[in-house]
Amino acid sequence: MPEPPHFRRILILWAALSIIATPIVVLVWAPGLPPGNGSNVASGQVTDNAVLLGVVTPIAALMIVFFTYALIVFRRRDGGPEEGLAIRDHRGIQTTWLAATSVIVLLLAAYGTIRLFDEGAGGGQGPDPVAKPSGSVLPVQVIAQQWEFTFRYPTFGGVETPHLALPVDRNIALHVTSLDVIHSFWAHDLGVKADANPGVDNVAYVRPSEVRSFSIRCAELCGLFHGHMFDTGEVMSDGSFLAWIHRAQVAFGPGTGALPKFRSHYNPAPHRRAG
Amino acid sequence: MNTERTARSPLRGLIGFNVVSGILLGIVGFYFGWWLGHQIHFTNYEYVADTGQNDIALFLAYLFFVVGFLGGLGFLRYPLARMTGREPSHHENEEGGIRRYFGLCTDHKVIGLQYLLGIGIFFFIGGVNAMLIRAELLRPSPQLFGAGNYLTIVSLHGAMMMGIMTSGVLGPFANYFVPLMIGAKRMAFPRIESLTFWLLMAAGAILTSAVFFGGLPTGWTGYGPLNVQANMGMDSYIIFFILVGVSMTLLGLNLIATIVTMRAPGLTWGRLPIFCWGALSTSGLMVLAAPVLAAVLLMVGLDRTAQTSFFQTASGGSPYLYENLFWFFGHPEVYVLALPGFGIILELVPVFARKPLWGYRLAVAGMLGVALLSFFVWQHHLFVSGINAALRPFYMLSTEVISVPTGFIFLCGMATLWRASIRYTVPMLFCLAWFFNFFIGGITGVFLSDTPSNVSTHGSFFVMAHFHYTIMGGLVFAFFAAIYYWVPKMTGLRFNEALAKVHFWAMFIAFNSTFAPLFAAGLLGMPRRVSTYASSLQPINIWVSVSAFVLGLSMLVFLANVLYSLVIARKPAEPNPWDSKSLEWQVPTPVPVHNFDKVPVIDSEPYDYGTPPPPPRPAKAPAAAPG
Amino acid sequence: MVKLPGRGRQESSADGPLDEPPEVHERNLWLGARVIAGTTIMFFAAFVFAYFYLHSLNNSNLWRPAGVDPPQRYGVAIVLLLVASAGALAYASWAARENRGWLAAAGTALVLGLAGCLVQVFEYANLHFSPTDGGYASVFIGWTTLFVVFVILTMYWVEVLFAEGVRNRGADEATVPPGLADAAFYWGLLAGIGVLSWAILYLL
Ligand code: HEA
Ligand code: HEA
Ligand code: CUA
Ligand SMILES: [Cu+2]
Repeated sequence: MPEPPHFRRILILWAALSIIATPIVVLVWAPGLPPGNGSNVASGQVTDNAVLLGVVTPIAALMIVFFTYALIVFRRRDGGPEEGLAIRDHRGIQTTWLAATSVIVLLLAAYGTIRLFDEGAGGGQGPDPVAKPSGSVLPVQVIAQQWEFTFRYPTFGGVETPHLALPVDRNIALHVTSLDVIHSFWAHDLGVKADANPGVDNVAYVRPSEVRSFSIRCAELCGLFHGHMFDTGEVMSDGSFLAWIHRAQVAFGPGTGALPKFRSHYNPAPHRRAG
Repeated sequence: MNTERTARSPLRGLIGFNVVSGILLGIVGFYFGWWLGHQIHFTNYEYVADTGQNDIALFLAYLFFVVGFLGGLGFLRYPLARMTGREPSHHENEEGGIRRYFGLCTDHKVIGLQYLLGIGIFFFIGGVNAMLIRAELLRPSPQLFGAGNYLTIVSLHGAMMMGIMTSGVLGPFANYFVPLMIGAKRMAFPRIESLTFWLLMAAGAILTSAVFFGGLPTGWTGYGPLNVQANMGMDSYIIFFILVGVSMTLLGLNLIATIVTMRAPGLTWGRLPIFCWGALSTSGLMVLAAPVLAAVLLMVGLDRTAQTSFFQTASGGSPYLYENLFWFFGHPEVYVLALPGFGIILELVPVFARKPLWGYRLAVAGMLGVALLSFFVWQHHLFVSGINAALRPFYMLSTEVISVPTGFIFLCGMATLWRASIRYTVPMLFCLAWFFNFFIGGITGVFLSDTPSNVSTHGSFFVMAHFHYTIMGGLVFAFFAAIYYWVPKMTGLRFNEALAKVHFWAMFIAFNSTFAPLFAAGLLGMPRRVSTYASSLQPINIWVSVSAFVLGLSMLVFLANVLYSLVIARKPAEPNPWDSKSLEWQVPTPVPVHNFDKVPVIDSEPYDYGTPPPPPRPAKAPAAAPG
Repeated sequence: MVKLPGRGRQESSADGPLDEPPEVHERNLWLGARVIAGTTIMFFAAFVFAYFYLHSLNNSNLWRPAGVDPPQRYGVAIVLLLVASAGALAYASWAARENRGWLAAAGTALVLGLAGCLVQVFEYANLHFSPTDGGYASVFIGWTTLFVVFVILTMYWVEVLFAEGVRNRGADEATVPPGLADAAFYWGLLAGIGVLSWAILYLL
């Protein structure tokens, strides 16, 4: 009995599965994935994930088709040959695989870099950001300490508030810093994450795109009550934001006066085991 | 296993250098160090010295514990004798039945079995911690443990697994089989080989003892400055990882020397079994990465005792220093967990596919490539930390490039299945599951390495699911493949096949059902290391916890099998049950103390399976099939 | 000659089961010393990195406040002792190869190396800054302490070789303990790291 054309069959099955699955994954499934469309950077991440999924789906399809086929067709059968076919190598396959995987990862890295330079993709960029939004930016300082976040608005007299509110459709620069150990400011619905390091001004940009509330969590282990370091922030229309910040200035202005002056970061006393 | 009984009374057997005297002297050493630490009074240390938070005392206690433990095991005799000019020797306690297993023994086969049991114990402890984690996460608010205890459990689970399981494959299987595979009579440095094992055991005990000193809140990563603020349990973690680092370095040193210098005549580099290549590349990582871990943890130790400020921003240090150095070790570390698995998979698949390993050179290149690249990717753990943000594209690229050599391993494994005659034995099932699991783990790693995507997933359960797929799904599945494949050789006994199959299917299904949903939990915003999470995520977590308990039960099936097959039934295994052509199956069982009476000479390629392919057909359409 | 069923055959070799050619042990030591050299380099690379990293960050302007200067004389004394010791061991290794007496040189190396460690201890007693004084002080303390630990471990090796030499002295001066050349190599490398440490910590 001549050997059936395994290779061609696998190629055909693979092509078929990829052609069916990839559009479904990219167009139907991916757009609904978190973090959603709460901000420009969140939407950017959704697009990014969709592209990654689009590349990965055919690879996964290849794995599924190959293994399903091989495990069924190349199994040992009763009365069949005991041994497999002693092939040790195939130049063409090796070169093709090497070339294909290399090209894929290079393209992925290039695409990721492009997305990253789109305003920093919501990640903390350290004190000297390379990817900035154009136009005016509202600075907001996020101060993390064990175990709460507070927020300072330097353009509103440096007032410090216990909750975060942001105006919609405005470029915001979040200046994240810490007063003690490392924390991480994570606004999942806005696609923002930036570590809060003592003595460091870690900047992340975001432009919220809808009026909504969003969750804030600490995403770096910071000790005992790390799990309790969460809060809800609000994205507001411009008008409500101004009203809110004025109320905050009235309520917290006096307290703010007693605080250290606004700085890009603060240098609290070191942790010492000994006094 | 050699179970000859000596005529002496069992009590007499306890006297001498063995694990009992090791533990006793260790305890004496502990209290001596503790006492000594309280005698020390440095200026500006008084405050700590009197509060029961005396870190110097605890460090000294652990130090003398280790010295006492090793001394009691008899490790100091030889080095001291050497100081008086005694000739070097390579053999100690190699005769003497079962007692060899409870002390210093230079027979690499004894050490392999010691490792298997020792690693198994700590893996079990780590697994029990995992079960406690899952029990706590059944509800979105703290229920079983307070926040501090939860963190301690997570940290102990992570550190135990990452520290002990780094030697999980190499310890038992490389120590046992590398000399057999390369036709050597011993490992290069047999005493050091034994030392690596007992150091690891001391380390595991020390880490576990953290619960008596307030636990630790830092996770397995131990970031500063939290690591300076933390309780004394942090000191246990520091000593634990330093000892693990030393043990890893010595294990790597030993394997490198053995594989490079002690191969039998005719065993050229191109004929070395692929598992040895896996061991060799892993060893390279271990000897170069572990010292950095030791260095950075010694800095933490100094911050905690001598009041230096390596990680204190406010007095000239930086937490970034810790993050950089830790991950410079930490990333190679994760490949230390992966590469031995690669070796096992590619070693076993040819046996059960009845085919030569396809693309031997490519597989070797893949392993060496992974090992080399892993030193250039560490900042992918720090994409949102604010460190060198401008370098992120480089780290994204270097990380993604690792997919290419890893892909070689996949290609070689897949092509080895091509036109094979696959036998679905239990070890083979574990190997095939490895491909499934590791693919998912690896591909999600590619998502994590994409910086924009990482912004949302960093610090979430997505990362956690990624690395359990690569480690539990990769390393641990390969570990069990190795157990089912090799333990019949190591013990001369056969596993119960039916129980083994139950174990496999329960473990495979429960594993996937545990960790796959966690990708979703991570994407939906569930942070790591918290016992308080959004209540909307509770259904996923209940599902995961229940699956995890089933996973734990599947492990009990394995233990039951061990108990039944190796202790109760004791059916002898065939000398070569898998029909393997590798050298380790050609020696008698139990393997004689010095392995080979005569030096073997290797005169053929490895993986000499299969029927030769038919001669190429006379020129017709270009052959489409590979092979 | 026995043909194994698998991939090899067992050849009758002249020597019995336990004997092995002495080169095996020597090659192991040779390679082992090189591998440990790599480990050592990586270990101290962590401190080199710490030095330059904290220096460049200069957090809170406390990298190196004025007055945090190590006593230069001690530094010079330590580094000279260590280099001399490594030189003596290198000479011993050379002499042994040339079939000359090497024992005295090895003993000198041991004494000089231990003296270097002792001077280091005296230096700590005479420091004008404490570990709390910023980044440089931390790196200085950590680096030098751990360096001394490495030196002491190396001196253990030298002592073992020396003791073996002493024991064999009467018999035959020509018997050289295996590993002398490798110890000389390793100690040379470590002393080199010592010179580098000195240059970075005292001169920069
Ligand atoms: C065995 C352990 C192991 C292995 C092998 C890997 C493999 C990989 N890991 Fe993973 N990783 C961990 C263990 C491991 N990881 C751990 C423990 C952590 C978390 C530590 C902590 O924070 O506590 C972590 C975290 C981690 C992060 C940081 C996440 C974060 O905290 O933000 C990143 C980011 O880049 C990452 C990426 C990768 C990549 C790209 C690979 C690649 O090597 C994967 C390559 C494999 C494949 C891609 C599949 C097979 C390839 C093919 C079939 C070829 C074709 C494919 C393509 C062309 C794409 N890992
Ligand atoms: C080797 C690595 C390894 C392995 C195998 C596992 C295995 C498991 N892990 Fe682990 N895990 C980590 C490494 C590992 N983990 C790390 C590094 C972290 C991060 C810690 C941190 O954040 O700092 C982590 C964190 C982590 C968390 C997150 C906690 C949090 O962030 O809040 C969770 C939660 O579900 C979890 C669960 C599990 C489960 C259910 C298993 C199950 O697969 C376990 C099943 C195993 C058993 C039940 C044991 C059975 C053993 C035997 C029967 C003995 C066998 C005997 C012989 C071989 C002789 N792990
Ligand atoms: Cu703050 Cu975690
Ligand atoms: Cu990594």
